[in-house]
Amino acid sequence: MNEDNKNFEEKLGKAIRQLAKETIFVPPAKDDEIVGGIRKRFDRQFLNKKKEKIPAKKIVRVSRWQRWIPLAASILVAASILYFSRPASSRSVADVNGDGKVDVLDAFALANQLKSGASVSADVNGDGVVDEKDVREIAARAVRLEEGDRS
Amino acid sequence: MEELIEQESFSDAELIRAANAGDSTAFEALYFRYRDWVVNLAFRFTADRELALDILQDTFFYFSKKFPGFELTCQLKSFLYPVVKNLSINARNKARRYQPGEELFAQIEAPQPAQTASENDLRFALASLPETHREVVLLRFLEEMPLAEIADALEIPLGTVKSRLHNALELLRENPKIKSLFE
Repeated sequence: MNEDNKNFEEKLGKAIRQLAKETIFVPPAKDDEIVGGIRKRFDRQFLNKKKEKIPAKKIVRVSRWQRWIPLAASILVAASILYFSRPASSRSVADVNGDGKVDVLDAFALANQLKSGASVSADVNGDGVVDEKDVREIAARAVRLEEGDRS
Repeated sequence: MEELIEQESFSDAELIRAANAGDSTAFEALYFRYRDWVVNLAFRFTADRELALDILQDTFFYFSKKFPGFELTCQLKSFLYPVVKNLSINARNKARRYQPGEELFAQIEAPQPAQTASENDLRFALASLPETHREVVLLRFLEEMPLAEIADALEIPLGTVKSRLHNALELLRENPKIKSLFE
């Protein structure tokens, strides 16, 4: 910055500050009002912050039907345990095609799988081998079920 | 009050740290440190004493709401400047319908009958600058803020501040009405 510019800026600054020579005096009562307000705000804000740190005990309103949820959940868990603890042969092992029921179609499905040489796990009779005996077992069960259905 | 005087030796950052920990006297020290600057800035924006006092109160109430958790990332004046400016504009709008073309720094720009002709010429010269340029000039020469603080306060790059200031000074220097002021 050359000397000329510096002089110009100094004089300009001085002249501008002259324009703003009128200043405001803050009355002590206003100071008291503002400082009092600040103290109150601080107290409130920091008190709220402390309250946040120690969470109050939550009050949860439970509707009448919601009270049955824990019991229903317990029953569901118990039923699942009973279902899954049953021997494998007596549940879905025979449901080879996975349609949720044991019928002749499962016997056909297992026969086809055995024929194609695919790996199968439908040891329905529990003899440790999956073969034609299992196909017959499924077919026999299906027939028994169908007879039962009719009676 | 003695506590507050003692706190004069603390930096803004130290007072803010104490205020963040819940010490309201640290915040009060900041209030007394910046009170006059804030109220006079508000007065220059509004040219109204009562409004300036209200803006002072609103500015520090707004500022106090930032605690705990306030982080000082620039000079405190740079943080406070846009707060005072926005509150002043809102207060002016509320006090009377905003007149298009009515400028910031109303107190600086309004001609004062009791003042000399050259002072009124300077007011007109300042008023004739583009508002963005005038704001930089007044922050630099009236508020005596460093260029980097002005950049923070206006949230514009430092280069923009420099170019606006340079252009504004060129315009003022070429203004024949105020040439006599600088001879």
